[in-house]
Amino acid sequence: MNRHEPSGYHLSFDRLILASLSAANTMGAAAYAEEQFFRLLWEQSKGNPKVALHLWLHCLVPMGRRALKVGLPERARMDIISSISDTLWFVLSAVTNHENATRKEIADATSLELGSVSQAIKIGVEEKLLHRAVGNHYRLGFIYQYDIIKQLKAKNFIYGLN
Amino acid sequence: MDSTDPNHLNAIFNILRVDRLFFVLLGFAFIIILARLIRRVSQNLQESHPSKRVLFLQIATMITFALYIGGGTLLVYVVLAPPREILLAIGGSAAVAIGISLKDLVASVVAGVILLFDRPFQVGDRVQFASTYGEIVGIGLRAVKLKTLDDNLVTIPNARFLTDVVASGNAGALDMMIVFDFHLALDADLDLAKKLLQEVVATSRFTYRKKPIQIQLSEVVVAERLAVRLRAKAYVIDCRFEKDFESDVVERMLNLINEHKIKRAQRD
Repeated sequence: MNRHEPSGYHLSFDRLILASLSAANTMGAAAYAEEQFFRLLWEQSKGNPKVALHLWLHCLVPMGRRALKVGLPERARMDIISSISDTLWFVLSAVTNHENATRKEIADATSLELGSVSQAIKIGVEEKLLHRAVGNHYRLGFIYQYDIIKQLKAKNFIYGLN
Repeated sequence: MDSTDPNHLNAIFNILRVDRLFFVLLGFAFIIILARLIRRVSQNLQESHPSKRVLFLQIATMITFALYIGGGTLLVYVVLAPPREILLAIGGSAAVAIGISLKDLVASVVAGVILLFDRPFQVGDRVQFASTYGEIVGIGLRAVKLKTLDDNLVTIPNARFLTDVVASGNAGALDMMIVFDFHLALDADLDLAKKLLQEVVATSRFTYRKKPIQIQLSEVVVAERLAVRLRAKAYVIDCRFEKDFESDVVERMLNLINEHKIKRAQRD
């Protein structure tokens, strides 16, 4: 919040965040809402600053000239994770291992056909599991990063070599 | 019951009266016709609802089974009205017969409890049992269900696991060792072949590189000729990729063998 203050924008919080306020606590309503929101942000970003920044920026909705409304941070959908195909898991593991990779690099790393890789990337981007960075490089989607890595580890797709 | 007692003999003859036997036969004929009718209705329902064919078949089987056992017992009891002594004798014989027929079932249930503690394999393991190889999909109280690589579901009574040998490929772990064999001629470039196989296995997307990859050479007889067996031992990340891993390594290695003209073991 200290970093937000210099922007000069007034913040108002979503009614769902404010709903947890008790009647007795209305005096410090703004501070309480901020605390609740950042607790949510911390939980959903799992402490990753880049993910937290992404979630924070996507929570803000312009309300007039100098005001912003703060909505709820976007959640990862677990039904998407559980329905990922094996090809997409291989693509995600290649992207995770190399931090970011192009279509061709993923195909080379996995020995999969370029067509299969393209199809898997398309689904990955549509479901926000992957996002396209500069130079046609693909990276893990912000909100799914933690869950994808957790699943990749559980499925033996990624592992430490020690 | 004393079989020489005239009263008891009279009771037996009374049971076996012609009119009573006639009614019993008539009753059995009725039960058979009813069972056939149920089967016919079930067949019609199966044809009109193909998606629920198995369900109708199971229901019809259960009803006819209950009809034969329940209807037959009721018919004998009501029409012949046997004395208490005969009922006790029949009941005792039935209990012994059921006991003998349930012997294997009880043995399997006991074996199921032993398997629960002994844990020679777990659900998800790849096991070889006699000539059956596949993945364990369920360990029940009576039997173990195993899915073969051809997608057949095989049910094996638990009792058999106590006496026969069972080999588990991964013993509860996700990864599993896979062995690849390539047979080369004695004068083939073995150094190059070893390097290529190491590279092929190490770069496969299915390889679990946390565990070591071993490349071994040995002399074997192939097609009545001496040859060199080039063997790779590596772990697959998940045992369900076993065949994909094999295909990937074999395909890429054969391409490289042909590309580098490495001599294969073959008959002159």
